[in-house]
Amino acid sequence: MHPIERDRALIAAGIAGDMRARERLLRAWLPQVIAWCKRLSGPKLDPDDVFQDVAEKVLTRMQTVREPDAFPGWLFQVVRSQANRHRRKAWMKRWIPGVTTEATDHGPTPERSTGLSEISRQVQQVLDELPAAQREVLVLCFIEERSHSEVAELLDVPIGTVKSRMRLARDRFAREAQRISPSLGDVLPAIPTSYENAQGAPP
Amino acid sequence: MTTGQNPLRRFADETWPDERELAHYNRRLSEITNRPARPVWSGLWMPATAGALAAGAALIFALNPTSSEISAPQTLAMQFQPTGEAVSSRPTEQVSLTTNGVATLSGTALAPVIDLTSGSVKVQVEPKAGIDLRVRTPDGEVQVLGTIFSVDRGPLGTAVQVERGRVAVRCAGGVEHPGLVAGESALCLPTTAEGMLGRAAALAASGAPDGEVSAAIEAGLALASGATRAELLAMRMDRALQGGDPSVALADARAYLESGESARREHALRVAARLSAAQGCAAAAPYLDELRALGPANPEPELSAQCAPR
Repeated sequence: MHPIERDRALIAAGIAGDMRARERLLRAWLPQVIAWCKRLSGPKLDPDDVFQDVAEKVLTRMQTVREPDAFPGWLFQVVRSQANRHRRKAWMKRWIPGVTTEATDHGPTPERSTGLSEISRQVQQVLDELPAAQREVLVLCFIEERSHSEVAELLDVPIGTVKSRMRLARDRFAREAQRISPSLGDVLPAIPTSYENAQGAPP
Repeated sequence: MTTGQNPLRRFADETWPDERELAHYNRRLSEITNRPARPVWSGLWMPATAGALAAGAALIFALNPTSSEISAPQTLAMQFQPTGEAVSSRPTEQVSLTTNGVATLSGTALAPVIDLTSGSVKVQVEPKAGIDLRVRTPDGEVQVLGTIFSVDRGPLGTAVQVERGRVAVRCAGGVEHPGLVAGESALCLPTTAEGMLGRAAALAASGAPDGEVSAAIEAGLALASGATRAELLAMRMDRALQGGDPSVALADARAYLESGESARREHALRVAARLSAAQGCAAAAPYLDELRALGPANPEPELSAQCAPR
């Protein structure tokens, strides 16, 4: 059963303001939320921090979801915006002397570093170099292998925009991979081929 | 965990949480739900002196563009007056406004409310940022579902145009447009007699089809009383005259005169006198008598000559 069908009643209750429903919903979607936090945060952020803010947003702002079907897109946008916010804060912390907005150390934690192989760390590093819009579409299309229409719904953009971002993301990823990790770049040409076989080539 | 050759597939597998991570995040979620809400910065400077706290907070708020998201809701209070040209403002990081009219901004950074009295406002909201922005006019309410749209309140009603994203429009009259998307527009008709009078006048001035003008007049008459009703009757009377429907024009002229309103009384008297004369001088006499009483200039010489004073 699709998660949206499984959780429709919970989502409706959460939108109506039921805090218990919001918490249960978060627990039901926890694996996906954590995966998005980890995939969109990059190597310089602690996904734990992003997750905390995502959880607080879901618990306090879910009444703004317009209908149950819109929940997955809303949830993705919450993760996306919180990840981007932490990126900006980390950037400020690096470049503006004296600005300390969080007590958390953003360096790699053992939990994260032990969870990723060397090749995955390289993928994460390359992803981190992409503009946010390209990183998001690459994560959703190539890593999570979602359909065009599903990605368009999650990003709230037209399918044509998804396709054009995919092309840009694919090219940029290949370039960055060549620069950062040539060994990773060698295996990348397999991505568009397998993707197009599975879902049809973008025009 | 599978370890396929494709590095992206492998990355996908390795970033999907295992049971140990799920247990960790479930505990984190329990911590979050079990503690009271607090500003994020509140615990960071506890050991510092009060002065250091104030200085640190000032620095954070001055330099961190997203501080409004993580602290107590920022209360908004702005007023806009017409200046003859559009004025751009950015009340929060996520909201940009271009106003040209009379409006007030209230609410909080997370839930701004714009009350538009007249003129137009163009709103740009960062999509999916959790902003619950509403634009209210007496004719309806527009709720942001993301992202760029304009609201124009004029005599014809409140027009909403979406440039990007989606908005929901609830007209005060009950009509709803739950999901207007880019390129679409909606119009909330006025819901008051005065509003309908303004709409009818604006439609007539713009040369709109008779049906539209008549519909606005009839909708206004259904709501109106007093001077507004009289003005709508006078408007319908004139249109009936132009349209060659003397019976309607005469009935409206009489209704206007019975209302006791004075703004267009002389005009209504002339119409009533001319149209009543078809039934004989006796029918026209009361209107001619009142016209004569209004002033020395005889406004209807031919008719007066035909129907001498009683």
